[in-house]
Amino acid sequence: MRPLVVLAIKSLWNRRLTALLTALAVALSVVLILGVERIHQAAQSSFMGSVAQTDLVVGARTSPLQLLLFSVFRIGNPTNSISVKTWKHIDSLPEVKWTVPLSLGDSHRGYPVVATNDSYLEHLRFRQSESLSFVGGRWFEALHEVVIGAEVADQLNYSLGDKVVVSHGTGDVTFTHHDEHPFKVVGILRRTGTPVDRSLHISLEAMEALHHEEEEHPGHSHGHSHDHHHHHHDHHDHSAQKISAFLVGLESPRALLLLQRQISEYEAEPLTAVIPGRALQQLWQGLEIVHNTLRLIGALVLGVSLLAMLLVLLSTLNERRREMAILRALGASPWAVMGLLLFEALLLALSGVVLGGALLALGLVGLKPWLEAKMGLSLHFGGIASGEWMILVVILLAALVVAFLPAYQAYRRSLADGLRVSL
Amino acid sequence: MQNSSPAPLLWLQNLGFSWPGQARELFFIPELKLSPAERLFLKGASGSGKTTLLNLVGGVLSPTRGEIQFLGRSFSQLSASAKDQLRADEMGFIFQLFNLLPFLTVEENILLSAQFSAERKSRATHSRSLKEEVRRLVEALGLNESDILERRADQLSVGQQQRVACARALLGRPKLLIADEPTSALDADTKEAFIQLLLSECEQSSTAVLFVSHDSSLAQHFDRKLEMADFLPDGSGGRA
Repeated sequence: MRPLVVLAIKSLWNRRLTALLTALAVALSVVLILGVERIHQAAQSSFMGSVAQTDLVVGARTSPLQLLLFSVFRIGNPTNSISVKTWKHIDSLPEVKWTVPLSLGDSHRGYPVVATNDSYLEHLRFRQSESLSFVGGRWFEALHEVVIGAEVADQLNYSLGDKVVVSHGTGDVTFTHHDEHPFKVVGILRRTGTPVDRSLHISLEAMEALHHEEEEHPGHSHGHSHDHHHHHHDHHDHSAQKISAFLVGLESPRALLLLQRQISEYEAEPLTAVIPGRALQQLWQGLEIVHNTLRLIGALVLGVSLLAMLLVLLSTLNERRREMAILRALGASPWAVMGLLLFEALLLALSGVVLGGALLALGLVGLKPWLEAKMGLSLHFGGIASGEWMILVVILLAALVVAFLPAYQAYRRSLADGLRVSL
Repeated sequence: MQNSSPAPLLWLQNLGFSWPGQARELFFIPELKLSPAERLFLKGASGSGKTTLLNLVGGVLSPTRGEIQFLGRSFSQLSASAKDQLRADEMGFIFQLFNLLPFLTVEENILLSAQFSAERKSRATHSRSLKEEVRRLVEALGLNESDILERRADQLSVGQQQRVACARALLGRPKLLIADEPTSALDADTKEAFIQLLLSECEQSSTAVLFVSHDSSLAQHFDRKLEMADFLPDGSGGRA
């Protein structure tokens, strides 16, 4: 069989353009199929990494998913706020080890502004257990100080000491500016691969002050007069009254379900308490149809690429009848001729799989910065997972099954043609 | 029958063949014997069934009736794969055209014989290395260009291709060379030279030759001449 293996390789090399295109078709389907799985897994682990060690997320009554999306992933807006009193009360419960308050809804050039306190720095974890650290500077202390995530620093080219203006509302087009109180960048956080990278962090008091100013100078940038308003904001107590949500860490996971129920039934105001892992699971279930659709597309592309291979093999059969007859005269059995075509198909599919793997790896390396910046997805490149091996083996087997048709034809023809083909 | 002759290399007895679904036989050969190293010219026009006969002798087709013995082994007793192996070990083929794989070099084409048969490889390397034997063969067949072995088969002239095919058929000294109109694509001058070289190389390696052609002017180079026309099933059947 060894001479046939060498022959198949040389014969394919002789038709390398067609062979390359065929392999490329298979490669693209491999990229699509494995790429969908890779990104799906990366998204899952990255999302899970963003809520590492957070047991509960508590906010005003809303859907669990929405609460999780705006509080942890900074996607969408908080609908309602909850009182600081409620937060303080739950923070004081004995089962609760720590809480991190979050007040959202403002933005800076499209990046979310998060008002919080020192416990954010102390308790937030990413990738299971890593805590936040600084590339430079420190956590905010004074009212008009801001700590920015790595992505914000990179994209907006900010460094320590720069002045930043915060605007109300999210999105690039903002409605009001508070030029009189720019924030000073005092810290830049190290990259985490979570939404923290895209956030600007200020104190709860600073957020409160911003909103007070707004009440006192409504539509400041719209040119409305503001003479009918009170002018005692200098004497204001800037301590916050409302926050959007808070994260909860428990002393023991055993208290989780009980506390969740307790919070949901809290009487002073309607609350929602979300177990992040469960809410994410809901999210994945909701997205399963998208995932399955992408899988189906991948399978269809694979089918098309295998059909292309079938066409190539069938179309070359005629011009290769002489080749087959020569091999027969040299002593090759019709089975060997059949094996030659099957091996050729396997070789095509294998090159496709290898090429696809290489393209995928290149693509992911190329996309990695973009995925991290825009989606907050952190990709980890391990070797090929066992599930992926299975997919690759299935692709090779499918190629063999498809190649059976031309291989059988070659077998039949080489039996009928004998040693000499009269063409 | 000649009892005095040595055991035949190839022995056809009462050999008849008809295509499936056709009652009429293509030919009928009562008896044909080919001795070792004998040179037999078989004259046949196209359509006379000569290619079919070669497929039978090559063990690729099976006769409708009768018996083929090669090297004392009866084809009817051999499996298809045993016949494939016998063909690889002991037979060399040259056809009118398209003997070579166009994407291989001359050397790779010639070496195919040795790759399909360990037997022929060991015989070819009996007194020298495989490469030296290939070089010796192409030179003996009049291919003297120094780079000939490295050239791709599809870059050769038809005359050169036939010589390379001949070298491949004779590598490892098979017992039988079957040539089917190998000179039809050659012009008159090269034709003579080609046959001379082919036959002298066969003589050296004690290879019998079954040479099939429509061109009876070539018959003079052979020990014996037969005609396919003698094997017409309903005509006056000739005898070997």
